[in-house]
Amino acid sequence: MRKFRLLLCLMCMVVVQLPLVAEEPAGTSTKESGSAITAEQIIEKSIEATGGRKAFDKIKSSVMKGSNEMAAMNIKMDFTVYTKAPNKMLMVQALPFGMGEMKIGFDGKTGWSSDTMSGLRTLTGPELEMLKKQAQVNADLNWREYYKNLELVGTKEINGRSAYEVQFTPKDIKSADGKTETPGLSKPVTQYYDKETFMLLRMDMTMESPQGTQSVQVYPSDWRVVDGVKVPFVTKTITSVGDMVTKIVEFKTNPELDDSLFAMPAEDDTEEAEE
Amino acid sequence: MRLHHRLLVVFVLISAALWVLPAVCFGATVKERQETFEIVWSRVNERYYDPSFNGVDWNAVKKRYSARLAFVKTDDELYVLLNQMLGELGRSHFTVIPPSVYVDEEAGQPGDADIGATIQLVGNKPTITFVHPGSSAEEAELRPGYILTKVDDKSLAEVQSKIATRNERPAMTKFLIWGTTKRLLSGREGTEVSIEYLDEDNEPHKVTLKRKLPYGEPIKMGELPMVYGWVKSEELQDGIGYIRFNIFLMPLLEQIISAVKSFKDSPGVIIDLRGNPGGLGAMAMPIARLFYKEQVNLGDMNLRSGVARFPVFPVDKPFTGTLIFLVDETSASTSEILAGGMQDNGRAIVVGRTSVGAVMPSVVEKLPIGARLQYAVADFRTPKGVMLEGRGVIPDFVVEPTRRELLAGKDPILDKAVKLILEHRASGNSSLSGTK
Repeated sequence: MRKFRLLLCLMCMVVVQLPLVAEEPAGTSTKESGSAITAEQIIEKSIEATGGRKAFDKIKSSVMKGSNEMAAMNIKMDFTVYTKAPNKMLMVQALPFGMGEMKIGFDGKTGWSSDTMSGLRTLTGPELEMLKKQAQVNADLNWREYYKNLELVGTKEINGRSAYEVQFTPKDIKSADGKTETPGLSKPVTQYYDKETFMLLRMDMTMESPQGTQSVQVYPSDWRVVDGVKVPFVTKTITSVGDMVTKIVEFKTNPELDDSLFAMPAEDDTEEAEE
Repeated sequence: MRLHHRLLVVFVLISAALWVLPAVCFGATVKERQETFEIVWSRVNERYYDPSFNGVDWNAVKKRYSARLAFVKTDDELYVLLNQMLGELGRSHFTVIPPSVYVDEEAGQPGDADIGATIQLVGNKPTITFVHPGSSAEEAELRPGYILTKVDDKSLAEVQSKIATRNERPAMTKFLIWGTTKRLLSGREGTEVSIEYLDEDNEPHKVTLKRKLPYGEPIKMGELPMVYGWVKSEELQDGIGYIRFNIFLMPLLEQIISAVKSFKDSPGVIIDLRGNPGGLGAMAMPIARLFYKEQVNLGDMNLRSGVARFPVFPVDKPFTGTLIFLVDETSASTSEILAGGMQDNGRAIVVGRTSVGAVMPSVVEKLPIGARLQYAVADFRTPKGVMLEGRGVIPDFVVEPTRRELLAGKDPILDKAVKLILEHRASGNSSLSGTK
């Protein structure tokens, strides 16, 4: 299940670590006023609705291929995402207009990115912390490492469906010097779950990085069963720049992936490429 | 989450953009025109970065223009109406581009052939400032300093008077003269255009020229019209590096990077952005990073919700000598982001005339009737918070070329930059700063 959660998140290009434990975490407000269900129970039911913990745990690695499309601008960019337990990840995203491709990887220790705009970089500080969170296959079980609070804040109508509104408040993350914790670098994430099926209907989040800040709404759909878990094969993301649709065309579970796939490329290779 | 964010930033940056001037050019039904009108109005309503619409009552604008839509009989009239509506915002990068601009290129015959001469206001006269080697203008022995008076019997003095009535900023007035003349001189490859001009002795001449495809590599970027890109690089006196390119598009990047690296031992590098209307906003960063030892930011783009930045990550061996940008009113958008951002954080100085001040990151969408809508989704502010839209990049050293200098074969703006680098080297100072 944990695996599936990661894949789901990557498909949506977001990562939200979901709580999978049954015990009531200290300091967590979970009850909507007058509601008989808690936030943790909603998440647990969502996990069961999409395949269940055992099914997710069977997925130890994956390769997902698809495209990000902005139809109005006639832009389509293919991507491939590789994951391997416990915490390795590589995303290769084609960019339009001859910009080549963008790679973002985490080999379990080092986070890195490579693209035409910024070259090859070792990620540090908040960027690295966020990537670690993305790459963490077991993040679902370890949600407390990243979120300090989980709260059922109400209900809302989403595309004609009544949904529970659950807010995840992230912990303060390490600053660029790696020593101090800086509050407010990550904003709360809000997820909406169908009150009947407990399927995820929408996520709202504000994304932050050295590249800036952007608020988005993400709508997963076209859920299909792959290896016992449900996967949203189409995800629509609404931003102030335009709407983007992510489509999965291929999703393989448990392929053989060598650890070297996730390693940061040698500096010289990139410099030569820039020459 | 972060993966997605970087992608969204890329979208903003790829858009940051070439500024396409509105143009005018049948076939859509009344329903299609109504639908197009709704889309254009709604896109701005939903995505214009400023929810106050620059102080314009956007709902009231819709009511006014909806009433006029009933009288629109042709697509051309629709495009005029839509561009007038977008013009109410008083910002650059809001344009409806008619499909006719694209039809020719889709048939393999771009409609942007020209005579290869740049016309700008010099001493308040539309004057040739640059003649491209191998162009029709060169074959006709046209020279910088000649004053253009008519294009196909259209008086440029009248064009100038009409533009003057708009009471625009001086840089925008100059830009409109340049843009309008450029459009008058452009057409299909092989077609003829008649021009009248005054030579160095103010003797009038009339000549008919055949339009040629512009020099450079044909490049198509998204929904923008096809453009021709080129990079020029040469070593000037005393080893000074000179690089000029006419647009920010990726196929040119490697040539630009190679050019900068070839001048690694030069006392200074001059990047000439005159005549460069922008292009891919994201290209500002890989160019800028060639000149930095540490991470900097070229500026911020404020979106309807959120901010996108232009972070510049350093290279191992940056060029550390003097860097000078040349700009004038024909430098727009990404040109202004690069020059303005690096000027603002103290790495570069700027020489020339004030740039046009058209710096609105935008996106281009195809409309149902085939036209394209370009609309701004963000503003841009330099690291010190200066909004360049409507202001432009103000040179540290303002140079106004004269007709006499042009006729003498000089390029006063370039000459000033060379002089600054040589003076700086002679003085032994570690940094060269502007005197804005």
